[in-house]
Amino acid sequence: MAGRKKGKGRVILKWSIFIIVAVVISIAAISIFSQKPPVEIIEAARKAIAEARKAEADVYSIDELAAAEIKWQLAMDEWKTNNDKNPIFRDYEISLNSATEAITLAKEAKVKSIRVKAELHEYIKNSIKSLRISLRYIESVKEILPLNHSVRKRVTPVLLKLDEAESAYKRDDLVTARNIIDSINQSIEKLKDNTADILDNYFKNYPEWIRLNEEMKQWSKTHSSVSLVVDKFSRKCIVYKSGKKNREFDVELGINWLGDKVQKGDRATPEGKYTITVKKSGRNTIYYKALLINFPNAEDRRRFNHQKSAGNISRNALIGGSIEIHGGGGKGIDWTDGCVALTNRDMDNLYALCSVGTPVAIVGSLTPLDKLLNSPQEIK
Amino acid sequence: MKKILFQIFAVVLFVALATSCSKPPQAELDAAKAAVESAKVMETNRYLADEFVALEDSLNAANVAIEAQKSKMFLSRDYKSIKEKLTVIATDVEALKARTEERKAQVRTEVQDTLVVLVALIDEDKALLAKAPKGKEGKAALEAIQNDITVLEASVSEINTLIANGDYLTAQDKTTASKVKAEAIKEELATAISKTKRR
Repeated sequence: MAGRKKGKGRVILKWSIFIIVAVVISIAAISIFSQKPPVEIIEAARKAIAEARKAEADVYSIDELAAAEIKWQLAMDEWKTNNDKNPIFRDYEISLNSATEAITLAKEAKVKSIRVKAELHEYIKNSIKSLRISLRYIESVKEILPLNHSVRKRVTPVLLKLDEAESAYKRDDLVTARNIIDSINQSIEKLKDNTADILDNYFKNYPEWIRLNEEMKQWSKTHSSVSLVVDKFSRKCIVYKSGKKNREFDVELGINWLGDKVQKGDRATPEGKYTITVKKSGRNTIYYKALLINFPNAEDRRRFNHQKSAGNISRNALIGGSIEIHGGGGKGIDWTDGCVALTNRDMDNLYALCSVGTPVAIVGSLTPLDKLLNSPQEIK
Repeated sequence: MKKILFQIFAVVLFVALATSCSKPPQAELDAAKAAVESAKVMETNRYLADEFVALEDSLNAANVAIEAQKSKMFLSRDYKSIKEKLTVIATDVEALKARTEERKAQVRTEVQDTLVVLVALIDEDKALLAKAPKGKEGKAALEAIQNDITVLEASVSEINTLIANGDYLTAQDKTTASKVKAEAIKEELATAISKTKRR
């Protein structure tokens, strides 16, 4: 009985030893024959992605970084799937390949991000600089344009936007800065072009203004008398006497002074060659003293009729009249309905110098446009 | 015999214990992931971008470490340090969220303070506009300035919407720009009024 028990015990012992040896051999076999897990390469891919993100690839190289992350995730998913399998049947090939691709893509994303950010930085810096120059030009032109000109209304919103872009740029939010710049770039350039066009078109008459000025100077010399030139841009009334500049007075004009008078009620000061027809004082004028000029003259009537027949102005439009050089000025602003206003003191002096028949030329400017733009404040 | 059976039992017990102790820290991983996601919702990636990226990377590193352990033989798996790391990540994310809140509150306060100054400046501009010379001669000038003030008032409205939406950084850009313009208008009006007084 005891011998049988002993024999059974030996069998159990043998089997136990066999099982333990089998387990040890299996572990050894698995360790030797199973594929090495892709830890290092996936770690390298993770680090490469982290580097790319640190270089803000999620902002400046979105597609490349997303591709790298997808590949890394694929490598991880494959690794997880294989980890659930028996070690002998694990295959990390896809994981390895995906992680390798993720490294390449992440490195590309980093390089691209650094390059794109540097380029964007430069683009924004240059754009802000160039748009500031354009706005400075518009601002300087704005200063010499009539107060109610549409350019004035269009400047402030874009100026605010540009300041916002600069603020975003300073806090390194280049994407926001670029988006704002792109949204105002066209508006500012268009505004600049429009402004330049307004003045360029207006200054096409510059040679004629210079000629009229010379004619007035010459007339005063020939007749040993007085002639007047009103320079709208400089807001000056020049008095020529015997061919020389005798006096100069500050003047104020009609609100819509930029350009010639087109019709009654446009509050523009006419341009051309006129003559003083009536001298008014006392009860004859509400503006202290006044010198009525012969507006509209024959040239004004011809131009008005041409505009009317061309359909540029209403068929019922009137040409207007009663344009004077009068007192009541000195308000520091263009305010008349088309007349030329002086202070009462200056009007006294001018009134004394002029007589019926004194020629008057009203011109846009005696200063060329480039000089005006360089020092608009001084000239005004 | 009993001794042998005891030894076998001990080996089986050890294996069972070793296996049961080596489960991946799924709960900690989920908690850390949820924490990172909640930080993203709070715009931590916008206000403290570098720190957020570092934490996201730490989470990825923990994921890699978990799979690395899973690849090992069950007897040699050890998730203890990973578990600790994940707990640290979750704690760090909470700290980062608190800092984000702080930063956001700081920017919000700055914006609101500047907005108060801006609104006061606009009111001053309006008051000066009311004092500016009226009548035929000043009408066009006043209209031009009023137009600028209207643009600023629209800007204030936009700023309030941005603040309500929690976009404090954009609101800050807008507030700073508008304040500069409001100050320029104030100066322009003050100069115009002083010129009138001199006359």
